[in-house]
Amino acid sequence: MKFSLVVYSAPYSTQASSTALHFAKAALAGGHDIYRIFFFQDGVLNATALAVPPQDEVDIPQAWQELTRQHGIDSVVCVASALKRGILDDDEANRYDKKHSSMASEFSLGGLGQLIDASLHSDRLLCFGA
Amino acid sequence: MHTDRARIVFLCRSSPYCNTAANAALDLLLTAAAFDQEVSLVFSDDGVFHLLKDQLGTRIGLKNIAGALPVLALYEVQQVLVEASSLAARNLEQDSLLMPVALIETPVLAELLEDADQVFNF
Repeated sequence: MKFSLVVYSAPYSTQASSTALHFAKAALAGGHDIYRIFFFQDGVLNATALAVPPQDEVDIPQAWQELTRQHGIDSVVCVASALKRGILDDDEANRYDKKHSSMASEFSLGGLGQLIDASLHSDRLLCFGA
Repeated sequence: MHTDRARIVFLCRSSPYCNTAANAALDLLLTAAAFDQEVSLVFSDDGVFHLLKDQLGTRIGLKNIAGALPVLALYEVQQVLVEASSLAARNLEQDSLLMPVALIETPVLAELLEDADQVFNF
């Protein structure tokens, strides 16, 4: 089955992001496909490259990066949600004259059209944290 | 791309001003409409408070979606619904609402969700 996931929640604030991560791993391990993971609203904070959680806690942003890299997942971060929360790639940091970018390179910024596209091309769209 | 239009339901259940979910719902709904999909917007639970008239969110620096709702028809969003039992549970009536919105009974809402290709919950 072809799944797409929407992650609405920030890491650590609620369980939703972590649950989405577990689901994604289980789906892939079960032989299913993931068409796209879309990070929306507070969920864009999962794409931060700058999180440094304590060593005895799960590094959720890093886990998303590894999952995306290892499985070549199309992990898209809503650009409107991201910019206002300080999640910027190099291009956006330059565009808005910010000193630093903050988004991990595994992710790409995209628009809501990609979420609607995901809903049309997936057998199931699962929303986490809504 | 599917050849037929997908039926997408946007279910708005949280009250205004506690979060920005409804604004996100509206953005996504308009995107879906621009993709020529068949969209419905349903208000239930505390989401019905979005429909109250005379809201001044700007006084606390927040945008509400009330201003955008009456123009949805221009974007070919024909179906804007409110769950009747949610209104009744909050002692609200249709004439407290900022625009005419069709009531939907809970079992009919269940069917709408069952028949939808996708449901986005906000």
